[in-house]
Amino acid sequence: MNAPLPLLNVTDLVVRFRAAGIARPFAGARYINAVNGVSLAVAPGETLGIVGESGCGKSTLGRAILHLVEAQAGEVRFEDDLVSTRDKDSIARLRGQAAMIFQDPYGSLNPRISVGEAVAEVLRVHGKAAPDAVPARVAELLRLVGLSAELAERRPHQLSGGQCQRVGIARALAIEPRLIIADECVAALDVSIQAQILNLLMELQRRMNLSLIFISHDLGVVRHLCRRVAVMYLGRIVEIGPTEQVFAAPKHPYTRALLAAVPDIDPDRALAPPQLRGEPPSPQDLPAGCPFHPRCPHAQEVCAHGETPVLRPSERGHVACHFDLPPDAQQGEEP
Amino acid sequence: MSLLTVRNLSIAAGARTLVEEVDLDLAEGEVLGLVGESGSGKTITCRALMRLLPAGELHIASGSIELRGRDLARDSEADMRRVRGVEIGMIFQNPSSHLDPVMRIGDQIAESVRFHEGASAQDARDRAIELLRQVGIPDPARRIGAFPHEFSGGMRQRVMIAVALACRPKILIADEPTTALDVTVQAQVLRLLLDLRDRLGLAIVLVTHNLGVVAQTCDTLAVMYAGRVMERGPKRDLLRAPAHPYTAALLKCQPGSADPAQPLPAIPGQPPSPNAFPDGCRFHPRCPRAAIICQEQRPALRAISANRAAACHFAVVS
Repeated sequence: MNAPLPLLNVTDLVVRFRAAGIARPFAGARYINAVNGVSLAVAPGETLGIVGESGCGKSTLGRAILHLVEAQAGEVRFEDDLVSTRDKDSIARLRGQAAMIFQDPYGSLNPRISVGEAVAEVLRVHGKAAPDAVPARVAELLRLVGLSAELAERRPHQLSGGQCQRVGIARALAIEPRLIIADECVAALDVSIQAQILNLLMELQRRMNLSLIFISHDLGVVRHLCRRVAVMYLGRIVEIGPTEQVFAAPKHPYTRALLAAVPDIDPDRALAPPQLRGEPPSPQDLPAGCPFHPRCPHAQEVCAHGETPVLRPSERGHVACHFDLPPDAQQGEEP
Repeated sequence: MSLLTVRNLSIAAGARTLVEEVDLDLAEGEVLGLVGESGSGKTITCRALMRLLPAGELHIASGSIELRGRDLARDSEADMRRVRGVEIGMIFQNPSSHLDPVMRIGDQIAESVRFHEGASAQDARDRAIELLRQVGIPDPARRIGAFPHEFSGGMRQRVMIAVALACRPKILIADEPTTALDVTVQAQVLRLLLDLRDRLGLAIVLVTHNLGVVAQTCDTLAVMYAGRVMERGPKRDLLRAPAHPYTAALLKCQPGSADPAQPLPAIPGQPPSPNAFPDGCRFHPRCPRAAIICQEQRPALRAISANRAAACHFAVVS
């Protein structure tokens, strides 16, 4: 490969959780298969969106990359440096360069310390500023995310949701990261505030040449923010490729259904007929074959009983489907 | 003909007015979208229509809610018990917290039929099965014995719709009914609501913050901001040519429709707290068109064409 060395390289990552409840005798423990062999690479300065419905494993994937949850198999490399739970220093090095922004702006801040202190804490833990330089750096970071330095004295409950989310971003920027993983970071915000935060993220990402993994269920937001997008279903990436291509000509039947289900704000487009029956099955009992086959309108015999399809090249992206579906007639009016 | 007519409705918490001078009209078979961001007063407006405001905290300060020649704002609590579920049904954002977790869903549906119509246990059970079939639950005769936790989120929302429609109300108030659902399931539930409208002539008040949902389901819209209706009118006109700067700004900052990779035209600042609504027009601190008059005089919701109204000093139909 002649492509520039990726900043982050994830290979065959698997995350399982032991299911809650009492294990049945002789049946062994039951597991929730959250991430089932995900591989992806992120180049420096690249924006990758990860979309999917609840339970598809997108948040777990983000956490597993930063080793906030333990992966059962697979590896994460940051600048070709293997990150392993057996090597605590490697995790510390990773977290010194990769930060996470969470969904709940209040829940991810300590309610008992001021937001300035919350940012200062990050600076001290990572040794990013000399002790006497901390207050000045906190003020600088708050200004960077569009908050006035006087707010540093406030506690989270004295701020609005949008302001708290800016503090979350300031905390992430405090480590001078090269990668930010943002997990549904605008989902809890009203649309007028959401637009402000998205603009801030885009501006910072460009100015600092940050890599960004943006996890979201909101396809419109991802389309706006990300150059590349990965679609997840039941712990697997079913399609990945350049955003404009995936949105304009989706290859996987799940991607098509997902895009068709997003209500458009064009008042002249009638509500599309529901493309999918039912809801995603529980990640506790993964269907055999292609995990999407019970809901897939194009499913054939091989989908139910054959091998699980793996990602294969398709135009400029990759798709995990046995078939090359013809361009979708139902999406004829899509640009 | 208007089925439900709300005039000049104001809702207050003590001396603080949270919702002011709301006018709404709902005709048979109409889907009215009540749109706004959090804190705009859309949910408490809906609760006021059912007189479900938390007692002692919020009360209807003034205005009327006319339904078939009576004023719900002045009805006694006993009369309201015959309105809720019978004249107006209601569904909520989170079905799990509005269904009884330890009661079989068939009984939850039958309960109101037996209470309001004095139906026998057998008749109520038959009605429950029929309702579950109507809302698209497979194998309803068996599923009436199930508990809410045995259903997925989308199915629970269907069950809640069945509960709300058990006594055949003509009006359904749906408060963010699909916000907690995934987008593919949301499409199914919205389709169901529209089917029920077509089949039963149901009028629906759909409360949502999602303009996409509004565009695809509603006939008319009322846009709320800081406790006041900013603009109302037919959906297509409002979305195509918004007369109020707030409606226009809300449409522009939708990420799905904007030019990718360009900054979104965000609305600066944040919505005001009900403790400190600005004088004059409540949107003026964030409004790109604000002038001196906007700080001084509160614009009333006034007609700008035959079927549209806007609360802006500068509103014109373009």
